[in-house]
Amino acid sequence: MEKEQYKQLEQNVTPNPPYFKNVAKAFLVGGLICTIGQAVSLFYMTFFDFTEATVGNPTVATMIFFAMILTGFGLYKKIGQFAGAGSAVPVTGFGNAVISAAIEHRSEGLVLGVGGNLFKLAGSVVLFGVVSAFFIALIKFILVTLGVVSW
Amino acid sequence: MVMTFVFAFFVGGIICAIGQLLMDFGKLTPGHTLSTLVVAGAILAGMGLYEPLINFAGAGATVPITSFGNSLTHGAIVEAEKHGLVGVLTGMFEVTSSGISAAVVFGFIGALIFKPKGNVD
Amino acid sequence: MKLLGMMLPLLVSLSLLSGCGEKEKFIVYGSPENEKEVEAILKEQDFVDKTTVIQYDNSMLVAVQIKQWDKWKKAKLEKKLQKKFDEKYPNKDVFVSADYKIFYEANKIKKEQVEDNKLKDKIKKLKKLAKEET
Repeated sequence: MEKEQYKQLEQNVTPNPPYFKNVAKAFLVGGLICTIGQAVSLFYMTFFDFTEATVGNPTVATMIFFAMILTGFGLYKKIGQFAGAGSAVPVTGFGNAVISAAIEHRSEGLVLGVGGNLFKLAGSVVLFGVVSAFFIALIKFILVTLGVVSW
Repeated sequence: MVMTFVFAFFVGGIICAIGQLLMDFGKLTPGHTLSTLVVAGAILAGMGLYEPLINFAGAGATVPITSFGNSLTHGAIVEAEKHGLVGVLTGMFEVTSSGISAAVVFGFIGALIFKPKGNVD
Repeated sequence: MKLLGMMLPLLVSLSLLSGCGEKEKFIVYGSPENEKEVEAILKEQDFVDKTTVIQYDNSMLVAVQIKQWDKWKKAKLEKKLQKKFDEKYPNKDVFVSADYKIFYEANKIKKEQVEDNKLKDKIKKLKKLAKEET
């Protein structure tokens, strides 16, 4: 069978996902998670010495703490089944990927199990985040040196 | 402040909707989708566009995974600005994303206190 | 469609919430001699939504909240306003911030009627806080 034909066949067989419904669900749940994040930010700005510029860090850490609780009780997976990208795209989804891998591999020991598998699912995010940060800073440095842009 | 909540909801929701579209239309796996978004965040940070988005939408911009790309790139660029080419290199060891450290710490704690439930997907 | 139905009440209630609290948008606290002047400067900037200004001796803390659609340009507008005040009051130590935290603290100072001798330290502390980077 030709490759083209196979592709055609595959497309005919695979049911189309309910695009609109999926996107709406992702939008709602994702938006809701970010609204909770905003409440956390407001909490830190009101009661601690954080400004709008610095509040992102404690907010993200707190959201991941929430993710740990939900993951530990097996609830994050249920949210994910409903929300798709809505719960995967916020940092809580990243936290869930790391934390669930850690919990699942606990029985293999702290070093080989937890340590070795912590980034099994989320490693690519760290890899591409750090590497792209490196190259973008490098490109920007070169462009600034050439006088094309300024910092 | 109330408006910031509204726009945190909208901007955060839109970023997640883009992620869903990448998965459904682009036929990307969740791993590919998240990596794409992180790189997109890093590129926006490089162009100086992510900071304005945070000013506009607050947690709507800091909570989605794109903020990883932003905080890592922002840190590297600040170091490069201070120390030149060496800064690009050393910057990479100084920049942190609180999300990554938090995930590691809470992953460890979670592994100690919770029992596995067959949750890895 | 059910989802849209869920969202509508949320949006309506949020827009109602943002409608109130219109009074006392421009507040100047501290030495009263130039109150009107400061208020006038701030009022002619159309991106300024709310402000609270704290004054003590030579220090002046101008805490502003920028209108939502102008927040993209927050850093730029902050600088613009800072320049304007520096030109108007070359002898004063003026500090402009558009950060929510600074605005919140400035309002707290006003509400608690902080004594004059403590004002200076408070302003100094807020200045340091505003300059912190991530």
